[in-house]
Amino acid sequence: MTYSTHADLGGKPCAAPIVNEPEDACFHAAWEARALAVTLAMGATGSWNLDMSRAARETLPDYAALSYYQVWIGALESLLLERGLVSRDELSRGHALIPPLPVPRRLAAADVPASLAKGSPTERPATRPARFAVGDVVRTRAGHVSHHTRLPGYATGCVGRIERLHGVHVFADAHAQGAGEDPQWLYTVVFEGRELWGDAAASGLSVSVDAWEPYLEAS
Amino acid sequence: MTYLLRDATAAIASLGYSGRQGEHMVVVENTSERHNLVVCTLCSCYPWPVLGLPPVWYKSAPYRSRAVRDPRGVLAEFGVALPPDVEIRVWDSTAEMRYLVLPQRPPATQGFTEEQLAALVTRDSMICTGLPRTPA
Repeated sequence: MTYSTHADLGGKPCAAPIVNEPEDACFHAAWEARALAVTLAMGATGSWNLDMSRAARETLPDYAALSYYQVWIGALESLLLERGLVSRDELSRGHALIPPLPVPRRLAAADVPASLAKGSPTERPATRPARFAVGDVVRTRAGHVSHHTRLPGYATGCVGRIERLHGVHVFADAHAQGAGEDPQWLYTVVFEGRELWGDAAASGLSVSVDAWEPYLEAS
Repeated sequence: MTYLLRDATAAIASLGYSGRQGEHMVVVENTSERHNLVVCTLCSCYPWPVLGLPPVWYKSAPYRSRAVRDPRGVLAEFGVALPPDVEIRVWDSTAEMRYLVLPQRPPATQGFTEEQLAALVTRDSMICTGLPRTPA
């Protein structure tokens, strides 16, 4: 099955203006806050992981036409439907029609502040040395992959330099596919603007991404 | 400040800010030579515990698409014009590291208290589509 993301926007043509807002503007309708809450509450059940939810969002066919929280709700519905946790009938009628399936965990309202404060760290113990060191020149993986990935399209097949090591972290590509955490070394890789955008690059521009080791080859 | 730049997660946690979407923090420093700008081109990664939820523009297609390619154009839309010789470094938050910019200290603030300095810092000056306020 081909995997197609609609969220890989870096460097894509987009002439629309950036609409600034006052710093205290957050939600623009009451349902948006509920969309955030329901998404976090269902995430906390352990029925899927963060990388699976990102994959569900970026593959929504109408991603570009949806507002941010419409994307969240669209992805949540698709994750729920895939797992049989809700049916299309229930979604259209707006209430449960059959008793719910069990979920691994439940987040009680009283536990929300502690859960948010704890977060979900992704760093794991290193079981092997890092392949690259600060200053090493590397080339990123080229071409398309048929699964969720966090290497942006604009930074594929490019030569950059290792600038920071961040330890070993849950590997998003594996985690999104249900292949476990598969922890990998994570690096900040910096590219000169010209490497990414050619001669048209703005002078004095450099761009970095955070890249797991499997994205990188020595150059 | 060196603590913040060396181990941002611990330094920020020591002030009581930690948790979801701020589990792994990195702080980078703006200087006269370099302006840092933070984006998440793939989704909306943003350091919730220190800056709250991201603004709509941060999550929008125009910002995510253009910040990595034409940051000066993006900054101009926020009313920020940098001298031409200032390098621009864009940090694309593609994994679970969350970035925060330490704004450059505005001129004529010697002797300011922590409280006076804090009043000059805006949210946008820590993502870096804005500069800190200048003292009245």
